[in-house]
Amino acid sequence: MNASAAAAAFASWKFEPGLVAALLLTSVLYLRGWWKLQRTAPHRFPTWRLSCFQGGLAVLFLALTSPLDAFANFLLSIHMVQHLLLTMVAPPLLLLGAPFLPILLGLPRRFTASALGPFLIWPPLKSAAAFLTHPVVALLLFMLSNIAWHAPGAYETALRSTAWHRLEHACFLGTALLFWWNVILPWPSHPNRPRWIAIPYLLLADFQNTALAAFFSFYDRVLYPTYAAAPRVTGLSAIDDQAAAGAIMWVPGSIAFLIPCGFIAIQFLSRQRPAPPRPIRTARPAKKFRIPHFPFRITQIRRIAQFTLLALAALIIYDGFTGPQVSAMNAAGVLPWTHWRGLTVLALVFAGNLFCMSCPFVLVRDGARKLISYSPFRIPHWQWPRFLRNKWLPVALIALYLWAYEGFSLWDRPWATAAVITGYFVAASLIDTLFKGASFCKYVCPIGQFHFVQSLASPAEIRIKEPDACRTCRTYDCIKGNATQRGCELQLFQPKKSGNMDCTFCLDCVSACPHDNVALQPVLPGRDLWRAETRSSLGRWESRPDLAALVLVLTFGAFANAAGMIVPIQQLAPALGLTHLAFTTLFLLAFLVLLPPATTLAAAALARPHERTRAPLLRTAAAYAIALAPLGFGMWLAHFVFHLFTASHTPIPVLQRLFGLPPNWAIASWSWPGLLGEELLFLDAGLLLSLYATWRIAKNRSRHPVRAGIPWAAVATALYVFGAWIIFQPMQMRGTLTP
Amino acid sequence: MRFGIGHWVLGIGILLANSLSAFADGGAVLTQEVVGPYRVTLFGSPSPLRAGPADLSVMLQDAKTGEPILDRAVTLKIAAAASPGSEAWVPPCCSMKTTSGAVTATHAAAQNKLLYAANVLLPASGPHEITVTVGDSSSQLSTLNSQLTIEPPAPPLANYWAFLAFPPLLVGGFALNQRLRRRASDS
Repeated sequence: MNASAAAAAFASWKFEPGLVAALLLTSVLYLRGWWKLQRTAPHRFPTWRLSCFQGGLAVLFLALTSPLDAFANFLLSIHMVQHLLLTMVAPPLLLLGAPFLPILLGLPRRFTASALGPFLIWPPLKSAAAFLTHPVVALLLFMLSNIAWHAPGAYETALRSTAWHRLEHACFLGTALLFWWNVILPWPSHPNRPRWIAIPYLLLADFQNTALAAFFSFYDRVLYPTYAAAPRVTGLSAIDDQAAAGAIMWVPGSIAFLIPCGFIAIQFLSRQRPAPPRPIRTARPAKKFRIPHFPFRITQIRRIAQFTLLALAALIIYDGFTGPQVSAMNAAGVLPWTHWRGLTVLALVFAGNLFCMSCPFVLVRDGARKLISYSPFRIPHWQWPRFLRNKWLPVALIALYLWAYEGFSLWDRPWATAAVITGYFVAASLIDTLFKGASFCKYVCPIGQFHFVQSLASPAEIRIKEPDACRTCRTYDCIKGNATQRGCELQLFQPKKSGNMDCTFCLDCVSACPHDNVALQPVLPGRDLWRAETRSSLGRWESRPDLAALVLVLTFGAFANAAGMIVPIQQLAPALGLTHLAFTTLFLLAFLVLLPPATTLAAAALARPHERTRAPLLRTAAAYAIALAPLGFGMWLAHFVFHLFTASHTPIPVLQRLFGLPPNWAIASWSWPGLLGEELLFLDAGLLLSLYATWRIAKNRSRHPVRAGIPWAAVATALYVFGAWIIFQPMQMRGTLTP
Repeated sequence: MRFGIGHWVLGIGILLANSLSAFADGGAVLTQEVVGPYRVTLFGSPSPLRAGPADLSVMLQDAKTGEPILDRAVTLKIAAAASPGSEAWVPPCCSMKTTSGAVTATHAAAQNKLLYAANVLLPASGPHEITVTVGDSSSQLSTLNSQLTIEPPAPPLANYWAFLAFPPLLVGGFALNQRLRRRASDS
């Protein structure tokens, strides 16, 4: 092979995100647990254990992503090296790291205790584990896996099918872990058999390995047709390659068995001498991890984000009114409907309500307020009308928006998009100038309500650090504000605030608190859904049918909105002899106005007999309906991420056109076949969180949580099935030039 | 916390999960011929080829020495040789990306950088003719023609069943967890 071919061969690495994520997660969990154990039992977990475990993971990475994998279909000898790494090198290294205690300690404590704990002490599982790790069983499984997978039929099947190849690797690694467990006996396992048993155990395995290796080395025909047909990239013929594979299996394989065999034999034959006492390192106090000082204040970052979004909004409005009225060629057809929506839902998953934090409408509103303060005229500053201090107005606005979006193809009308955004700036400035506080954000803004509801499943929340600091506080700056900083305009009193509902992440409370006791902190996603407590400015979920309606319109709306772009639904209108607008109106009336109350009231009626205290039907429905929010979020996420990736590059030619460059409309895309799987995964996560929230609510309220929860689980499952069906259907490529 | 044998199962499970997520190249040799100065080997994945998205890869070697050749322009074209059979199902996210005409195979699209690879859409099942064209710097073209039989498409669920099986499995695990916890608290 010439130099350039050799360089290309060595560059044949594969990036497999799932594998890399799994290896990294395992590595981090081990490291976290090992770090804790280093403090409490340093003599048990010296650095060499960490090195061995991380080395084992590195060997797995090497075996599965390096050129060894790329050439496994070309050369049996290379494939044999890959399998030796999976069976002889990685497993002993991993077990030398004594991984189980560090990994358990690396997991969140509550997860280990509540979720895994019952399984870890479950007798059938303990019996199964004891059976599998018995030396006879482990040895037989190891040898059987080695022989069976090298049978020509099985080996060829693995070479031709990805799924079978994965199973082959899993069998090799799994049986090797069981096999090496009896040799290494990683701490804290106690040997309950004589140590010398490991010697015949290893010799028997070596005997089998030698026999198979000899067969490969001396057999005079090519065993596997794939290698007979593969192009010869080295000087080796297929039969020589097979003999080389046998030699690799024979010599390094035997060494891997014989070294521990010799080591154990020496241990066994040596006279037992008491080890000299060595100083045992005692536990050390853990050092606190401090976040390094950040050069910007968070409020400055917020202003930068707001100005950036304001500039983009100005660009969208300008292009929407003056540019070509084709959505894929206009900034107003591409940026808000494809990229902004996709990025904000991703931000909600990984951080929180970052859009409201950087909302450009609030920036303009603040500017308008400041201007008016200099006005010679007296501008009224009213309280928001009492009858509108709820979520019914945004519920109606969201339903109206969903109808207009689909019925009038808002996504395909750049001028209409520009008009809506302009109207938004005007409305936000007008309402919040004439009325006190952030009335627009709290009681009107449909975008804000969308983010409030979806952020119930976000992993971060603005909340107090130490409750004691708030108990002694008498100034309540977080809500009242002070001379330099306004307090929460949405009337959320931090000590009684729970969850992200109505929180715009504006950080006013963080800046106002004189005790530096309010901060953005990580939380368990969705935990606010099942907490039965009175929330500041919101009350209890069960006493807020308007909030329940908001959750329902956004949840059912997620499915209705996605259904609007799939071909089978679009074909229904002509089949029924209806215009698009008439069909959309009827479809949304059914899906947003009739179905949500009908299903939730029916589910509440079925759940109510099991309640501990019989509440009115509407209260029961409101208490449970909130649990559907994550499912709706899962569907929004699947839908918006689909558009984000399929139309990923669409802003490029639009910006080229805007800046006077020749636009290249033949754009690339970041979509990949696995995207459909990711969409399903988002929907899965939404369903599971909704089901869990339902279970927790039912446990709080009912004598028979399962019976009370089943009707709600049925509603969630029906929506999930509909969502999964939508994801598999042919879709309109909105925001692209593809029909 | 008591340390039981179940901990080992957990550990082995985590490690096994690592190996299960490993991708293995399952491409198979479809045809191999000497065309002009080249030995051309065509690989296809999945094996057997089915209507729908597929990976096709080409290896070029010097016909005399067997040295891999890396600096040629390789184009693939697939055409139905008879009336097409069952139509392919394409994931919606790929309907704007996968092409069905002539496609350029590149090293960038291949895991094994000795190969020229391309993602193609095989639109329907049945007999097809594949044409591999190799162009060199002097614009001289060498062409390989081969007959392929493409199997009917696999049902969409065959590739995605694991994602749909995930929630029921987790719900089952949760139900078992609750049962074990209740039993433990009762006892």
